Amino acid sequence: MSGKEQSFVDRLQRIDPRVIYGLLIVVLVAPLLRPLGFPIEITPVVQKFHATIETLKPGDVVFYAFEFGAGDYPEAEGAGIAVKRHLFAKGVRIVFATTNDQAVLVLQKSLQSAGIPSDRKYGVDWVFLGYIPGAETAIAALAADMHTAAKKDHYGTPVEQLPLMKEVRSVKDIELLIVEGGGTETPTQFVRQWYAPYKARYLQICISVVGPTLQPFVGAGQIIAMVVGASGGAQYELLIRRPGIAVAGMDAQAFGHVLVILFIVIGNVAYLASKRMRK
Amino acid sequence: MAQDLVATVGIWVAALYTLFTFSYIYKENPLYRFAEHTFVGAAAGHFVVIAFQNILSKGWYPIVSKGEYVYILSMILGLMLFSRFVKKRAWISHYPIALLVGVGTALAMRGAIQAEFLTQIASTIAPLYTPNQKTFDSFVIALTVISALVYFLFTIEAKGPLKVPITYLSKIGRYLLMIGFGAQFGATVMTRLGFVISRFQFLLFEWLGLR
Repeated sequence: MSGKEQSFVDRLQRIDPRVIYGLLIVVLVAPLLRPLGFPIEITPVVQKFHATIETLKPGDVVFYAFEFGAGDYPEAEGAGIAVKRHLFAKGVRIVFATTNDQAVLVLQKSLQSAGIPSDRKYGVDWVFLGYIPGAETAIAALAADMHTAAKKDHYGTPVEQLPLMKEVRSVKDIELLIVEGGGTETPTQFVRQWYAPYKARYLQICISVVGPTLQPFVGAGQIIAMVVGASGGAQYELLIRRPGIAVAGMDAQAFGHVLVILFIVIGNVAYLASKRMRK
Repeated sequence: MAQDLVATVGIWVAALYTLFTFSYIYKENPLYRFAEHTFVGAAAGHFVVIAFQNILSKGWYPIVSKGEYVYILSMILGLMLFSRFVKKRAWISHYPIALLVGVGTALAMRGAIQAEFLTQIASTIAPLYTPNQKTFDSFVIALTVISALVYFLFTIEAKGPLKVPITYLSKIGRYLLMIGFGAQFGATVMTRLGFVISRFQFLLFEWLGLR
């Protein structure tokens, strides 16, 4: 091979990262502005998540642990909003809480985006116990006795004065546990402290990178189902017939993946070609 | 009116911080560092405020207003942690740390054996030939578990009659592990793209109003 060809192969292996970033910006922004509407397939696990919530009756109590910090929230934002909308539409009562200090602000943003129906009254239909420090000890304490773990709600009202909390004392009064976020550690702690001792029915929302790590819990039936990342969120938005930000981002996601795959192929072909030339 | 102004200022601040952060793509620069440092500072500041509020609401107020003196013990244990800053008295901090580690481990072990050990093993040992769609999954799980374990088998030398099965299983294990790492990498790419798309959605639709 000529020196010119060799330098081309070498150049392929040393593409300026700014070129890759520039192309990535183009392929992500273009479909956001001009969506193509690629089909989105609903996977059985997301269907199972939806079906589990469908089994709830109005008035059932859901414990919703919101564990996303500001950094990892965006990828599953659509999923979280869609699930909250579904819960509010079902008429279930929700106890929100978190063991992540950042999650307090993020939950408020998520609830604002989901839109709490005007007929759902705070204290009666939903409550927010706020940030409960202590990580796994807090999770165990909440399962055993929520009134001891959180004596006041996020707004400073003693929990015994909240009508909903008069009926909810421990995991035994909860119909379903939903954990949104928390990386790999917090869901594992919920499995240890809510599923193992009490066999709580447990659904999980997480970002894509966390999904494979939590999958063994789904396989073993400890977590009933998961909605993973923007893709899971898009499927859920379609299931509740309210397409939102997750569906809107799916075309961009697809194009981004194609570009990443393309660069992986280019890098590998160039590497193999240069190896061959050296021989 | 005032609320709208606050929201508008918030959107502009968020947009500028996003652009400052993205400027790193070109090269490291003062705007990126400004965004990075203020983010770290804000996060640390937020955590300190929350921690201080917790000390007040869960320790101090119950002691002074409700006479729940048991929390004095927690306060003392907390203060003992600060002895780490004095080299000669650092040993004092070992006691609260030992308590934290002990309680944490005991609590985790309570559910870990059942949730992460027994149940996981039980779900791995699934029948290979069941007339449903999980048959293939069960086979892949069994093959991956056995071959990956063989790959990490360092105490038995691959020689004699064991040489061929160990060598082949080890190789299969390596490839299956690589497929697993590949899937994990794919999930990482998906997450990172999700983050970027979310930021672009914010910039295009909330900041620039291009809907």
